[in-house]
Amino acid sequence: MKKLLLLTSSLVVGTSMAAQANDDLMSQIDNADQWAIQTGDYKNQRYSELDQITAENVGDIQPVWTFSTGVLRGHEGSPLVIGDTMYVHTPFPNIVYALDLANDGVIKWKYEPRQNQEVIPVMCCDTVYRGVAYADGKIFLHQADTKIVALDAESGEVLWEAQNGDASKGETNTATVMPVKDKIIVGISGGEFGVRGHVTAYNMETGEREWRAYSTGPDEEMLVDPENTTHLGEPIGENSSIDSWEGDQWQIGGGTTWGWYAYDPEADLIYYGTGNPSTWNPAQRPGDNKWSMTIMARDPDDGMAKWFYQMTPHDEWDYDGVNEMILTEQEVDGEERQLLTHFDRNGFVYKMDRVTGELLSADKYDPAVNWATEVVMDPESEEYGRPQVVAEYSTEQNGEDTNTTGVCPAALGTKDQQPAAYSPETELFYVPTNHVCMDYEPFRVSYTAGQPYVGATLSMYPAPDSHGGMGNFIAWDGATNEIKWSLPEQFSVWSGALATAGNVVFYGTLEGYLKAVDAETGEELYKFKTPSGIIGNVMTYMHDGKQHVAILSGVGGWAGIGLAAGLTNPNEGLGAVGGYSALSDYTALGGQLTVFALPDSAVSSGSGDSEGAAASSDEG
Amino acid sequence: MTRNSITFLAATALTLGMATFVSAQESSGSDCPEDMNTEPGCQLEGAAETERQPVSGAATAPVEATDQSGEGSKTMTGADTGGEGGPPEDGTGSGQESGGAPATADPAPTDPAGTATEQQGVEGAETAPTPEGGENGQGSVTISDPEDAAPAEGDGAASAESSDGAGGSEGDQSSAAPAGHGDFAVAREENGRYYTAEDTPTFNIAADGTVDWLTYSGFRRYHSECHVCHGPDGMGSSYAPALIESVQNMDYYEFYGVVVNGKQDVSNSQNQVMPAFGTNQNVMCYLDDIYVYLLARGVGDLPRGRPAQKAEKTDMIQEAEDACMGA
Repeated sequence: MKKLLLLTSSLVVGTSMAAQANDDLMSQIDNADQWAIQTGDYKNQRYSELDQITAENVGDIQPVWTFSTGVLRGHEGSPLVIGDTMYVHTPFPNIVYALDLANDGVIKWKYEPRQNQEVIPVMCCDTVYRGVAYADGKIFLHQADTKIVALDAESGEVLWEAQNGDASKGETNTATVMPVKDKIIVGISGGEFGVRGHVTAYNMETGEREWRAYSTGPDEEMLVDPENTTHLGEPIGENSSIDSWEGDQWQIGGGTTWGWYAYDPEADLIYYGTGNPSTWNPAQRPGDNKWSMTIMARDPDDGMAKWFYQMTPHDEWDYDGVNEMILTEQEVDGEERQLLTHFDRNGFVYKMDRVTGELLSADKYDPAVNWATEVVMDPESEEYGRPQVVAEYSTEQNGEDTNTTGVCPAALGTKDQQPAAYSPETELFYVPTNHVCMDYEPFRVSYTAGQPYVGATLSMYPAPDSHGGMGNFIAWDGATNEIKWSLPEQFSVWSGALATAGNVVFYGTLEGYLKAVDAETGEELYKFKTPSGIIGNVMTYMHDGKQHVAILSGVGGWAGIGLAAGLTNPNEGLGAVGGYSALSDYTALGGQLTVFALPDSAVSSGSGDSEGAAASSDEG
Repeated sequence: MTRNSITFLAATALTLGMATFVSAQESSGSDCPEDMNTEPGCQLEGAAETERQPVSGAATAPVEATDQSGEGSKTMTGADTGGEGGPPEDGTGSGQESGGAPATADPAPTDPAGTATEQQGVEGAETAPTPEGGENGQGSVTISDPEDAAPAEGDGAASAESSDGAGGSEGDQSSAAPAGHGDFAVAREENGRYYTAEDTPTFNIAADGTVDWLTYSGFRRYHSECHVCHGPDGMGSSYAPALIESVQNMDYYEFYGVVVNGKQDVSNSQNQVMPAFGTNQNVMCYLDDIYVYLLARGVGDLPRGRPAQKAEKTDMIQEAEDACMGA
């Protein structure tokens, strides 16, 4: 009875098949020879059990084949590998290629949707797309214009289509979908267009919509139960969202859902985060703006929310909360916990009990973070769970038309969507980060449907008083809540990481390097410069007895906007031309997949035998 | 008279926007307070001080280097109209509206409705878009070559020194602002707005680096509405053109038309699509501001980042803004 009627009424289709589809994808994921889901697994760990490539021999890997996608602009996400087939996607126009790995990579089929080009300019930050999903013999494509297409994985034939949003109102898509049970879970983009965020479930077999949960608005539209949906252990109460906005601003209030999703089959909950409230001018939206900037845990069957946690109430800096939720099982204070770890844009890493929504810790994962001093951890405090904002860096307190300077991190966050990896062996998180600060000046804007709704001017620059670069690749120890090591990078690290059982961690750089580092020490073991800057995610698979590592190149995205022209360093004063040379000095557009493996000589001794493989590893 | 404004610029595609990455320098502190008239460094110096009137000492004081690259020149004097350039306001600035200009003007074209009629009256509609005449070539760089030194426009701002190194933190594009900015030179000022001989909007940078209000406003609006595609400071992104170049390759009316109507340039090798902003008040009410800012970046020597000092916002500008935004 607490559950809303309206949900139940919309449930459709057979639950029995659901379980099968779920089982199918789970078994595909469990086969380490494949890469069956963008996130590596439902836990978002991006960890592979493959260990033919090891810290000892990774120095010997070589590019073994490449593939041009035929599309320029930013390439995010990664290919999937299911059986002998690799599925490669592109940014708009969102082409999907099925490559036959057993037949020299020949193109088995290609699907190119027809989309209205008008969608291109309403995508806030380049026409990126984070990849297709697979389940139950189908490939799920979520186009830029928010049409969802189910393709037969073998033939590329269209099985069904569904329209999730309206691009003419600025509703677009950049994210992958997550198949769960008999559904696919779908988010939406457009926070810079005043889009009201939501998550929607479609039936995997039919494409029929089963439920939709808005991030803001009336309780029944958010699929919350005021008494049983909790926030830090307390019921959220009635009208929790509406009461936290002034007037109808929530209707154009953002809270979009374009990040990576996670699923815990035992708890039977899906996890994701909501984005920034619109507009970027906080003075135009008094209140906490719930439930923007929130980690959400929902039941995949009916969408009902179990718990929320709002990380950044009344955002003043564009710190979207959409980054991935990484699920792990680790000890906390001697007790085994089911954890959710989230490296937020706002520069704090949140560790929670993913079953109950209890906040266990919140720590800065870049020492430059200065907009808040801490997150209050005392449950007795009225400020429990809230960041303690530093007045100097509050764009709200400084007011409209005032340029607030020196805020760290910048709007792109200490980390954006580029996903981290986690190794159960080292129990370390490997996190690609931005090391960038900003000035932020909010001002009044008016809303027009389908037009940008921003309301702030920002300037970004490398974090002052640091190494001068704009990124770091760090290893974060979730047990001690400390950075174990940090590798400075000249540009933001905008590539998703991969950790493997071979004790190697891979990531890409904006200059175009694929890098391999030692999972324990961070020591650089290998690098290769691919044809374009990397904002894609590293993946791995096994084929023909060889472990392969693949990465999409193709500079663009947010990074391509801000960095293409280069930044200047505030510390170097004027005339520091070239101190932060433009990314365009290093790389140019181009979409290409590069696949690496060990040479035959290095693997002849048999996979899994890292000692043997190491024989020829002295890089010379 | 009625100038309908508009200037040209290029542009191609403005798009949405959000933040800008930029150089930071800020100036933060150095923004002129509202009461700039009282603050020497911030003097508004009303109408462009055409160099003939070398700006009284006060005004100069290049407030801490930050940007302004060359302190010298940047003002563009108008071609003929010389006279107009200015009733050099007495330092008190405030007065713009009164003191200044020919009061006739109806402020700016901006009409949210986007009706952009192109070419409206305006006499010189031909608007030669680019800086012909050797005036500081559009491209980048351009350090003053002799040619500009001889500014076609009569009094051309001679102060050629163009940017001295200090400022130009950008490296590439034209940080050098040679003297008279050719067709973009200020012919007259009106209530804090500056116009070329063709009656299209243009920018004004005082000898001390103080930019006119529209240029400053354009900096803000550009980085809210356009930056997400066109990159910080008008310098382009991995997929959208650098507008500081574009403004030099199209005239004001073309610029206006592209912003209002959008643009599509799709081929195998690119898909550049710019939306129509005709109904977007956040763009249309500030179209001249954005245009003028881009001109100042591309033609003038306004460096990257936030302009260090800005002229006061005149009542007329405020009124026009309120009317346009429906405030």
